[in-house]
Amino acid sequence: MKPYIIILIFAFFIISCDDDNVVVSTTNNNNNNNNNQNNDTDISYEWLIPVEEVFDGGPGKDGIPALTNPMLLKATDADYLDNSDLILGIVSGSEIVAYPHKILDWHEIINSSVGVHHISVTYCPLTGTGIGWNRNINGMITTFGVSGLLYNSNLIPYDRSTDSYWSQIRSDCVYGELAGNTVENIKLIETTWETWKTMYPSTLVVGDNIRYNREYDIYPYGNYNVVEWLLFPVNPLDNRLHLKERVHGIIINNKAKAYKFSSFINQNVLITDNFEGSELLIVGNSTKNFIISFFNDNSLVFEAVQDQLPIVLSDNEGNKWDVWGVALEGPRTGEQLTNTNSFMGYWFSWGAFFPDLEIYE
Amino acid sequence: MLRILILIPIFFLSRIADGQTCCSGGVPLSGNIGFIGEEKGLFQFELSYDYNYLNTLYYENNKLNDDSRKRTTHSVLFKTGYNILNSLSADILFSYVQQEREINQFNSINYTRTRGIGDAIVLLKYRVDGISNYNQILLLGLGSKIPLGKSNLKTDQGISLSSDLQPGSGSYDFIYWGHFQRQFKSRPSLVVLSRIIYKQNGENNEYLGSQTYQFGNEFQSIIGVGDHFFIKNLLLTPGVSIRYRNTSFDKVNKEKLANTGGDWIYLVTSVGFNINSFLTFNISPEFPIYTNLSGTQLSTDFRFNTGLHIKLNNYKSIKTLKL
Repeated sequence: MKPYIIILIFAFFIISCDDDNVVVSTTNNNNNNNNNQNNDTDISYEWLIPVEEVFDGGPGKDGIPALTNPMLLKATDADYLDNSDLILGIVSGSEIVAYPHKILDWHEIINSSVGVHHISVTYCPLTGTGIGWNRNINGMITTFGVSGLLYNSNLIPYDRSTDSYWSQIRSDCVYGELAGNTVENIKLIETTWETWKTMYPSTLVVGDNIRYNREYDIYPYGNYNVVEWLLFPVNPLDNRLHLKERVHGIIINNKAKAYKFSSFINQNVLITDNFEGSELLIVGNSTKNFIISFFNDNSLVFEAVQDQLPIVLSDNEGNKWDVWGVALEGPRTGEQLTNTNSFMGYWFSWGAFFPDLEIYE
Repeated sequence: MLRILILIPIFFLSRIADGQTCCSGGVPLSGNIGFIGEEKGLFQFELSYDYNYLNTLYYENNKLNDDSRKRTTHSVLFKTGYNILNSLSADILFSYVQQEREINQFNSINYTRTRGIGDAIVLLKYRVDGISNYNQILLLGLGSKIPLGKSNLKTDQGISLSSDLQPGSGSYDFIYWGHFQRQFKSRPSLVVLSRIIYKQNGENNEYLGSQTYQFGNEFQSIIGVGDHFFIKNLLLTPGVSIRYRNTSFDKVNKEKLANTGGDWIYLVTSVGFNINSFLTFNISPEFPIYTNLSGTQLSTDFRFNTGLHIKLNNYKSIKTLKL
């Protein structure tokens, strides 16, 4: 036997072993149900989004651990936050809570209860989108986890009741038992920690004493949030603006329109706009770092109010309205403007999910 | 006979100089290449198994309180080397790889496994005669990694998996290799060696369909010592070495990817059992003693390599093997 024969035999062996295969499974420790999601024999559901544009982000399912009811701190005790840090805030009844990007960058989802709301604060660090979801799905209170999958570079949470997969920006279920269902969005305001605690000094905030002891002072994606570069492909890629410019998007009838901070320079600025047949009120302040929006469905004439946060608007009847669209003073005290379906996000994510969307200039 | 006795510990020291990974997933290719031999016509084969276990999450050099993630890489490696001349030899390495990812979190275990043919390596080595003599040897090598392994595996649903779960890297890489060893007149069986390996990685231009992915370049340097002795009629070849490894950032579309790259120092031990004059069996466990990573990453807790090595001098030895 010549030596090269040995090599040829092994080469033949290697080639014959070319049975590349992939197994993905989830085993529940409580009931030992084995759900082989991706085996040939157990594909029970169809994806409602193009599966060829769904990518495994790397850490795997629950590799980024979502939080549930994390410890809350008083604002004065949150030493780990800088005034310029971004937060997502909610007010529900007498409860006021802030969810810092510093925590969400590492955990992406915080399942929480605030006032009457069972809420999941979902945040995708890659698209910069923070959206509040009602955890009450078809009458069942669930929690959400991080699936480790991405669609158009955007977070795909899964619900732990049915193991169905949801698209964050679409806010609908795209795979599993609940496919086709939508989730109710709960309004959050994204702004700086300084602006938030100025508006709500009694706010509580998620603390950094979390058992996973991540380095919350460190942004985990390097320079991703400032460069014209994406980690995962998106389709389509719209580069009319800087890919990572934070814009406020409003969604009506599955169409979106984007509003830039450059329209809200240095003071509270009110823009009245018409989109998809609706009269809109968009209020923002580049210095205070927020943009919010409402439907103007009662034909009042509004103007921006300065230096009275959380009050941002007044009208021709003498009412004063806060950042949630609630009248705090005037004859309509207690009434509320209808919130738009809107949130902040990196420009590219709006362009990917709502191709050719309009940009307010 | 004396020359054979000297070469045996060199072989095992070269084993403990194996590199751990050529990518973040842990396929041990670049360090596993490089037979030592100086006779024209020398044929060497090795079939080995390599196990790499990652379970500790680090931020830089701090261990984080989260052991929910496990990554393991099982590799079957076949390499062969042939001395074309006394001073010129060539090695080829083939691999078969199984990557596993397991996350034990929130009362469930999520498991992902891929397997398939991995990448291959070809290395040409030249003995520098001006420096090499009976007591010492200097070898310089130049090689390439050939992307035989798939780098675009998807789940059965069609979901593309990340680069570190792929059996192949999808790129052609250059390998620069250097090896120096020295024996001592006072104890000829005692060998001290050092090895340097630099792998300059190319780009996978089909990552996730339209992206480019480039694993970070890798530098390894090893210094070790080995000896041999008999226990009854069995010749044992123990060795120990320190291995330093540095990898630079991976890049996606030429931009640095956070949480990749870092510095490691490993304590590598090995012992070889010489079954007969041409067949040896070896075991080599490896432990990290220093880890300092870029950002937050899983890192190796333990690595284990074992294999059978056959050394054949010309074709006469092959006839002996047949008998």
